[in-house]
Amino acid sequence: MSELKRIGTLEIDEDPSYQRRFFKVQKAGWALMAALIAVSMLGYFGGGPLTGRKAGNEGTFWADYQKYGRARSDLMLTLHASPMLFKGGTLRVRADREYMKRFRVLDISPRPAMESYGENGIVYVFHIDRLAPGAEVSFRLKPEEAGKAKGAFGSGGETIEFDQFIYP
Amino acid sequence: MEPVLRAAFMYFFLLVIVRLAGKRTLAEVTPFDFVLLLIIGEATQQSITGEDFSVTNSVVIVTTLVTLDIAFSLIKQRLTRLDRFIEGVPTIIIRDGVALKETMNRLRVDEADVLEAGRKLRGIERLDQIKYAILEKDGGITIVPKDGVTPPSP
Repeated sequence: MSELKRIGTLEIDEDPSYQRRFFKVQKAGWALMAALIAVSMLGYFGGGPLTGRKAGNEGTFWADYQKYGRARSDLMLTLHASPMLFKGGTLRVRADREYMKRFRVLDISPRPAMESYGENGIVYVFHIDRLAPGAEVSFRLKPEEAGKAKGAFGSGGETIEFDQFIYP
Repeated sequence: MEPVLRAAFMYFFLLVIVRLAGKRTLAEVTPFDFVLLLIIGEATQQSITGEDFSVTNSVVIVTTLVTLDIAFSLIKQRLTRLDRFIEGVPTIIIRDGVALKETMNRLRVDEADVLEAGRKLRGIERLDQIKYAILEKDGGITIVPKDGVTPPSP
């Protein structure tokens, strides 16, 4: 219970000094709320201009990925491969098993002709037209849990590695 | 464990954000405030329940929220500082018919709000008929009229 004071004829637990201190805390809170909105608009919680990143050897094998994502919210990942990685009309992409375990794969486009579980991860095989100028494979993933995720993909001798952070 | 943590996090988050929003927000709920509260409820519900719509999950979440609320009410009785942070303190905004402008501005209350409360509660016609006006912890305005000002008959 707060202490009652007598102000004129009024008995009240008013505390002007506390109120003044709280106004300052409130203003700091408002600034924090505005900052949270700004940071969110920029994409630090996923889905904004600063969240889109590139990793890998651009021109050979590289990824467009989202640095920040949210648990149980879709995350897009696109892998790009140059024709030098095509072998016999196919493109083989190896995905790190630990990384893929963190996600539910909602869709892969184009759909792989084959998926196999190897020692180091999951191997996806795509049929590719020999004359295609390059290949683009998109993964629509749903993060199952929050925290850091370390992405790793390989094709031929090329590898892509990147870090992501999934907010709860 | 996860539903308990989610519910507890959202409980504390809402507690802080409602307090930071200030008393004026809840002083008099306008139709738009009501819509806003519904949207907040909807947005919060999704993050607390996640994708688990089972009866067990609901039971765990509701129990967590109510238990936290009871625990807080017990702790608030013993800890004045916590009580002040969560509930705030009443603040005098009119003294002897004089508006305390700086305080009123900070609390986002104006003379019109005080007069409205005065008219509704005490049949007050003018500011100088008010001895004290107090913005209470719950966001309501209490009017103490000067001697001789009689409340209207219901």
